[in-house]
Amino acid sequence: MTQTSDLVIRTEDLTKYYGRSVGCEKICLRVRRGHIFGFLGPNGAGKSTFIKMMVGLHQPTSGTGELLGRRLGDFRSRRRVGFLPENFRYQEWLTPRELLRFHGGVLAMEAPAIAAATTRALAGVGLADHADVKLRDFSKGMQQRFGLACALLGEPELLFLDEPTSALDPLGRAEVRRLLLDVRERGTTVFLNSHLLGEVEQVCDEVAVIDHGQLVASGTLSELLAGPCEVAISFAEPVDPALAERIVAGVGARVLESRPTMVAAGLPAEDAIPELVAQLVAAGARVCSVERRHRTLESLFLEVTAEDAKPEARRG
Amino acid sequence: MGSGGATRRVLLVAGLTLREAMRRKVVLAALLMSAGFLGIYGFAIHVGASAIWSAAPGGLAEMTGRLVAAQLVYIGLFPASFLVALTAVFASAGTVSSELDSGVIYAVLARPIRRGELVLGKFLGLATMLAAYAAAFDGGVIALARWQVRAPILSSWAAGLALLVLESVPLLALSVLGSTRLPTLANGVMCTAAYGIAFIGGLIEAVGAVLGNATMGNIGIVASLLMPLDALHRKALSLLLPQGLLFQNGGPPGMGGSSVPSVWMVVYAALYIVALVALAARTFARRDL
Repeated sequence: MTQTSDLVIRTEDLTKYYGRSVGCEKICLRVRRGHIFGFLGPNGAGKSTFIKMMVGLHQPTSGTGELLGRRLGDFRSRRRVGFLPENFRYQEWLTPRELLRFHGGVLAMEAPAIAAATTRALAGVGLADHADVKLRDFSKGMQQRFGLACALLGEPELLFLDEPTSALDPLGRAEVRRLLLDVRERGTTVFLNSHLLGEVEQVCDEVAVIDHGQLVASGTLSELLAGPCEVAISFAEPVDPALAERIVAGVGARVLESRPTMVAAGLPAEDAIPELVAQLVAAGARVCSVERRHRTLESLFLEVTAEDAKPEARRG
Repeated sequence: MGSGGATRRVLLVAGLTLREAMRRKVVLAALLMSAGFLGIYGFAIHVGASAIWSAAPGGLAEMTGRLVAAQLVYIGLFPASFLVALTAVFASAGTVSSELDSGVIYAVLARPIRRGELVLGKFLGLATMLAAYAAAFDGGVIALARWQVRAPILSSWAAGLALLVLESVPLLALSVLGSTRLPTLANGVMCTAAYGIAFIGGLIEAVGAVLGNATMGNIGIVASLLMPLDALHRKALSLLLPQGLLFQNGGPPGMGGSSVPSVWMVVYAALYIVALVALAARTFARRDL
């Protein structure tokens, strides 16, 4: 069990109802310091509801939580938190420098510290040359980058990002990924709401999946993606499917798919692969490729959010 | 985080709100239009003053001249008050609600700032802007009248001007409260109607005084308690101009000439402002955003 001090977020049965509909239901989550935590789920699954409860915009209906060791909703813990909202709109009649001066002031930073932090934050997102341009003249992508800079002001210990790359092109996304890894390097924990699975897979240490307001999977990426060992073996010339299936069964494996030119098998352990291939070759099959099948975040996501896997989400 | 931090955050928000009013050209539009108003008013009373003093070789009887001059102040202050009140509504009806609509407010509220501090800061920033505007506008009317028609202004003019500056603040407080709950447009409609209630209250009270009808007088008082704007206006006029020179019971009512509210109405208005801003902070603090 993880030490409490290592946890930046801890929730117990955190629940939010809007009238009769479910925002989040009985969410028990642990986020460890220094990690990039991916929070996944289909649109409307409750990701934003959860983040809004974390940063104090919504009151939970029931359940408890701690943020950076303080009770959820305690506004003092927000001094050490950065937040990029989903719709990332900022006072468009201000320049980034002016708006960061305001945010720095609210964070009780002194003027010289704000000036230095502003330069650093804007440089970090590639907006160093735009410090004095009105935000209304920013493109959507630039506004989102500015949002990241604003969230990073004051070196927060915990950064909440709600869909931080939705307005960015692939290049911008890659830059943000790099930025997140940098931020983690400096010890900041990142809580990343996203439905861009590839992105999450590339940067996150741990993930949780929410669907219909309920947590349906959580763990480290390697835990979640570790599945049964599966191989697809292709043949240069057709092989009698019945023969191939008999051999697969012979090494204690399960047939997943069987065609004259290919057999896919689920094996009890990966050391059964050489034996299976050897037997197929001995039986005369001309094996031309052995492909290890990996479980991806996408397949996991589809699996846990599939219709028949849905938990009962309606109340009463 | 002590109260020093809270004060600092309130002032930061107030400063940002003032800056927004300037950047969005609210201040510029208000100043240009009131300068236009004062120009027309000044020119008109200049012409009127020439007519008054040259009507007869010896001028009008001293009393009549003073009476007309006082009415000219009176007539100038009514639209000035109306314009300041409408500006209060326009500038503030969406101060919270429009930021919720656009989403601008989320990044701010995720900071270590209490929602009440945000509401109070917004109110103070808007009140500062409005007070400066009312002082310039109403002060301009008084100065022009004093200069052009030698209008008799009482020595308590500073207190009178202070009340003129204060009179739109209850409406501002109502509008800030409304913007924490209502959509911008609905709030604007509500606050404009509240101005109407204050206006009709003064009118009913005046007619009641003429008819000697106590019930009408009470209805007027209730309206003044709901929105003390017109009552403050009448109190201000009583401090600015000699009583004998004002329209009494039968002059154009609703423009403040009928009855003079007591000093308790001023105390009530101050409490009204504090209560509404406190309520705004409280309702906003409990809302899911």
